[in-house]
Amino acid sequence: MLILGYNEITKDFHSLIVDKDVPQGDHFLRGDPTDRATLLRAGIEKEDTLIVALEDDEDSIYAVALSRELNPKIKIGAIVKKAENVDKIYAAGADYVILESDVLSREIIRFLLVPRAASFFDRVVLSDELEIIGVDLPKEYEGKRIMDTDIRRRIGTVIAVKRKDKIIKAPSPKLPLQKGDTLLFLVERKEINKIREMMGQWIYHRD
Amino acid sequence: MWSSFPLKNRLLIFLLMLISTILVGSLGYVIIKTYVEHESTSLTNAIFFSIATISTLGHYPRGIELTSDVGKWFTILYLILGMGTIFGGIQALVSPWIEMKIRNAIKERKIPIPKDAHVVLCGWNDIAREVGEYLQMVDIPFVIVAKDAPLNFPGVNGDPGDMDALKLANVERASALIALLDEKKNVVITLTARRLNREMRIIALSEREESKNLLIKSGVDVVISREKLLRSLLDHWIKGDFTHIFSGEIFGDLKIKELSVGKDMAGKSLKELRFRERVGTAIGIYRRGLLITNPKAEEILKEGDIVIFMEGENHADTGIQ
Repeated sequence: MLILGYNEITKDFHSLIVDKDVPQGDHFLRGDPTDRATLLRAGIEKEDTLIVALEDDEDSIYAVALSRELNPKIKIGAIVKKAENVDKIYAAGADYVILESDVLSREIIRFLLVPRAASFFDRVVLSDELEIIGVDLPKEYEGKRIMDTDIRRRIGTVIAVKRKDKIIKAPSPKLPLQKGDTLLFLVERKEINKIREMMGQWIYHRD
Repeated sequence: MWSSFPLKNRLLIFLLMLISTILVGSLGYVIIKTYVEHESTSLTNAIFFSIATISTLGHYPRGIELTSDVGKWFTILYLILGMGTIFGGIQALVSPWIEMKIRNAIKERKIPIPKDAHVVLCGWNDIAREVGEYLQMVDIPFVIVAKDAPLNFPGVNGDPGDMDALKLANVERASALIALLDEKKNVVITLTARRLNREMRIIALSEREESKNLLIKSGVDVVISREKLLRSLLDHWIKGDFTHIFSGEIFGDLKIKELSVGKDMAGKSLKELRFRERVGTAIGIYRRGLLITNPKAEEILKEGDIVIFMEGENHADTGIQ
């Protein structure tokens, strides 16, 4: 993984960080992250993932466009500050864009209006106490409705069903399950092993 | 034309015009006195004549006034020119200031500041704008305290670290305060606001996780760490786990809500209440500080429980708190 921009967010990622002003060290490369030669020197052509988090949105947009040109296959995640730049950086070739003010304002609103739900999210998103896992639908449940199976008793509440590229949130107990569905559960980390024993090979941590 | 110049430049232009007006008057005076009236004169007399004329003093001491016809006509014309410089100049200097005063007076009265149970937003930036727009949408009263508070929301123009500015925003009776500036400023805001209101909830933004303790010691209830939040979102994206898909949903809309259990619901199970159909999918219950995940349908609710649930697509906007 390669990171463009050295700052509070990226400084603890243990990957090569490129920026004009970086400390001495093995995983730092001093140079202009919007410069073609610097990116090539950082080995962008061989990387599979790129994080772009530069101080200036315009620099980030340019760096994404340049990286996309140098490596068409790389996965690019980026952080921008201004809302109008979200579309631009997607157009430049980013796969995942975080709008800073959007994420922070939603977090503030949640702590203001639904503080318990907000701290609940934080357990899922910020700490590893709670985790969302995916379980491929076992054959025996194909064609059955959620309410007619023992899924809820054995694992827990199905919070969503991933069907192809769609996510059905908070599915109705009457939803008939189909072949190829992935069921999503929210579980405590310490329960994961228990579920793994029960469900065998069907458990997935990754998408 | 005047108002397009900044105040400092306007002052400079005014002084230059004043000096050149005096120079023109003095020069004309010396020429007329010497070549028309054939009298001797001095530089002091010339400047005295100029200033006495443009300031409309109305009286010249003996020996200073121009007595010839040419001299009288010069005095008349010069008086008109000089008055223009003085009155025009002063107006140009003072009017923007008066305009600003009037505009501020109108601005503060346009949208009334909420009196109680409102939210005080400290600082004006993209985050404040988004929070403000959301609060407006759900009809929660709020006021913005910032040096550059916008006109289209209730606002107080001032430093949110100042007691006076916070008092203008009725912080004493606010239900929550949100500090959106840097850590240093947020600490000062919190310490100031806490002296006015012990009860309200204070939420503060922090650039770095390490400032969290300092903010909490100052009186903040919830610290939102920009670094930690953005970092963990990136982390989940890199890992490509399911949390990432969901955090997208979580940050995309506010579908996960909470409900506190009152007398009417206590003692009944989720199943009996038909919670799933009527409210949403319960994913956790906070009971006396403990979190129960994946509550069973047979789980019996107790008074004071807080149920965290996901709203299904079919029933929007039910049961916030």
